[in-house]
Amino acid sequence: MQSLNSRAEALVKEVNPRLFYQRSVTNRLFFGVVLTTLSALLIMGILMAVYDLQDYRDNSIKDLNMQAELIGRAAVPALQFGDVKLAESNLLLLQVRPKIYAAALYDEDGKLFASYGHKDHVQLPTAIPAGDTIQVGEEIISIFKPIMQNNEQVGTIFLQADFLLKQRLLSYLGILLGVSSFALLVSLMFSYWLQLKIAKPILAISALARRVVESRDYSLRAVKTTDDEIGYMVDAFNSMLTEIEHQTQIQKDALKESELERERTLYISQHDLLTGLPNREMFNKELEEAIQYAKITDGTVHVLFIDVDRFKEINDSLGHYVGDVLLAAVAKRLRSHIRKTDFVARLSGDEFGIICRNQQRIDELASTLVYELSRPFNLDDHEVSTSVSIGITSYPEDSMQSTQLLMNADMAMYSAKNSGRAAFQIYTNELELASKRRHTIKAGLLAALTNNELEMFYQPVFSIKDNSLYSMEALIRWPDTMIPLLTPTELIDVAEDTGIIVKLGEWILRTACQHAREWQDYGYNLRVAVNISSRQLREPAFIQLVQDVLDENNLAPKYLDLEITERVLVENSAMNRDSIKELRAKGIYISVDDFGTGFSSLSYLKHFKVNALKIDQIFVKGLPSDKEDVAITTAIISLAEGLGINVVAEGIETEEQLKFLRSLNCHHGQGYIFSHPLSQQELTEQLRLRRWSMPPSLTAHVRAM
Amino acid sequence: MLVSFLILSTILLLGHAPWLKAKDSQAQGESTEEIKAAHIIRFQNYTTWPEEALPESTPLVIGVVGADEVAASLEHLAAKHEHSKQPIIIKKLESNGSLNGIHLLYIGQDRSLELSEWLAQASGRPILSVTDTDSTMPPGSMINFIEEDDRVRFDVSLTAAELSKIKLSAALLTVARQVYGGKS
Repeated sequence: MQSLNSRAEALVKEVNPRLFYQRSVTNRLFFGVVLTTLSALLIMGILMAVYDLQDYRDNSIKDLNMQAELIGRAAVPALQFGDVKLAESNLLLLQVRPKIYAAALYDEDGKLFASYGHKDHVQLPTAIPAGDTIQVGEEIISIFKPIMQNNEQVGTIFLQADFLLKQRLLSYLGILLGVSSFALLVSLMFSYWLQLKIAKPILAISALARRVVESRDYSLRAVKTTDDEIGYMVDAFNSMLTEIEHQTQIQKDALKESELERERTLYISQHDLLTGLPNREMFNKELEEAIQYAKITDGTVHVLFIDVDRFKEINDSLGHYVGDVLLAAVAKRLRSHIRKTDFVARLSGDEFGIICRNQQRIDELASTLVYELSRPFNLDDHEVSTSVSIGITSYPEDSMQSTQLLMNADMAMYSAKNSGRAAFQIYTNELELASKRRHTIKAGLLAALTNNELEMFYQPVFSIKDNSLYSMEALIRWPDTMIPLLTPTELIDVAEDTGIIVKLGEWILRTACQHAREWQDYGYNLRVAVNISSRQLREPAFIQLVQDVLDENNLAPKYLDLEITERVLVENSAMNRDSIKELRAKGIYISVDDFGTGFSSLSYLKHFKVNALKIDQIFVKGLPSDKEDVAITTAIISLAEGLGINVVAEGIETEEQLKFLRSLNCHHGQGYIFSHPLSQQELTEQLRLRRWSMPPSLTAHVRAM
Repeated sequence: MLVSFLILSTILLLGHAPWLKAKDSQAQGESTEEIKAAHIIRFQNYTTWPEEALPESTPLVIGVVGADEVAASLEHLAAKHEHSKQPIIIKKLESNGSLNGIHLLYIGQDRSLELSEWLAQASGRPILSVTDTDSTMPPGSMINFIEEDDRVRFDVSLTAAELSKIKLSAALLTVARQVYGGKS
């Protein structure tokens, strides 16, 4: 209110002095013309009046003089012959001259001869001046004129006249008024015409300019009515408008273009172009919003972290194109099974996220998704089967923070994946602890690798027939670890999960081969068995690495045994098998680890010849009492026998187990009954003590140690 | 033109001009004879003689028949004119006298018997004849004095004047009581 007032005041202040003048062009033109006309008229009128009155006065005198001359001359006979009546009748002629109100004729002796007067009270002069005399007063003019004949004065004529100056002035003023009125009328008409011709088009342009400014509509045009300077101005104004319109259009177009571009960029920045789903950024934003909304409405938010199982394998084996198509299909399928209010986004690679607001049956949704995503996809002549692992967390139960929620879901998803894939896992605090532990292990492992804190242990494999050494299985140990209850299995699991396995595996391979070299240098030609994870096997440079390590240590391929789990052999596609074939071709031993625990697909045994099958210790454990274990172990041993390859029983702990296996003709065995895993020094010591006999096939010269 | 206008105006306005104030100058003591003499002198101002009859700078000769008082006044007035451009000579004429050299002939009232003879003699000659019959105008007379309302007035005969090739000015006619003859 106060500011409005002050603004109004400012406005008045600004406008007030201008009010004094006439603001518009029309008024200025109008008053200009009228004022000019009137002042010209006034000046002219005054000048003319002065001149006219002067002239009038002069003319009056001249006229009176002439009248005196004429009357005087006409009165000569009357004077000479004393004809008073004639003289009077002569004077009566002055009747037609109303200005001359008194006249008299005097005879040669100066005596009044005849007189004439309008007014009775006129005092005729008694004394007559000699000669021509003119007395000019303010209003009255008197003239005495001698009447001559033949150079002889026969009398004198006296005339007195009123100038009638007032009357003259009055009539003059009347005329002036009339002329002025007429001139004013003409000037008004002229100014109206001027306004019509000049002001109106200018006003029209001005009004148009104002309208253009107000409406910003540059398509408006002024109408040209004349071909003069104003017309030129209109043209110029219009062409200016055209230019502005043109420029504005260009700007608008550019703006529109950039806006579209911005929208496009925004879409791209917010969406994943492959699946058409919102991206991680949008997901985070939506999650924040959902949390805020839930905070206000006391609602819940569920975050689902979805990872496509074995996507990398599919991508590697079927190509990136199929991988992309699969991702798009997964996205489509995910979208089709959520509610409209749920939000699905592609977080990265093969990871998707779903935000569900106030979802009461989250496990139902999760199991539906797991089931639906397990159905095969028909992609470009490929039928691809995959599955998803889902981690679920909820606000506000698990966390109030969006980042923490996402981490929780990720953790839960990991858990689901580790528990065998194609499953969902709802976040629990235990998961959190496990995750933290995994984190600690990962960090410690990386440090241990660089600080060389890890140690190689070897568990020997013996021939059950003759107790001779068959090979050494290299096992990793982390003796000085601060992590409680850390088993080698957990260590390897973490290493596999975190990808450290590649580095770790290389270290194991390299160390084991170096040790093998050392033993050979002492004369013990021992084969070392190294466990290889599928992750390592997928490394493109893996085969080259193996070759390099062998070359570096001048080790023959037959002294290296790569243990690969059956699951890797079954799961992994042609690429893995090709790698294994290539390794086999080099003469490297390949053993199938944990045989019997993987998916039962023995066809790979047909494609390439492995050197050995290792019977998992879970089957050995129940020997010889457990019927199933007996059946499986018997079958595996007879299978190996049938294929003509070695068979190794793991985890043999008792004499009964050993006896039974021996009865089944199992070739080799490994376990505490033979030996615990030994450090390199311990193993070397054992070798030096010649506790064990060397396998005949690998026997070489044993040098003194 | 102006003159005829003046005449017309006079006739028109004379009847109703109550403010006119007339003063009788003749009541101031001048005798009839003196007035007549003054008139006769003034007549020459309104008369044009043929060039051959009255060349320039020749004195005007006035012949007076009888009327001694008038003659005396005339001589008195002529004396005033002595040094003027045109001097005036007064010549008293006896009966059967010659009119040679006479420009203006005045025949007094007392010589009315000789009137016709004098007029006959003057007839056809460039002599302005002035008579004083106080009645009708005698034939051959150009100007004839008549006393009317105690004023000396005169009639004019343009016929006689034309016969003698004497021109009388229109101004004179305005003062005349009556005008005879003339073209109009």
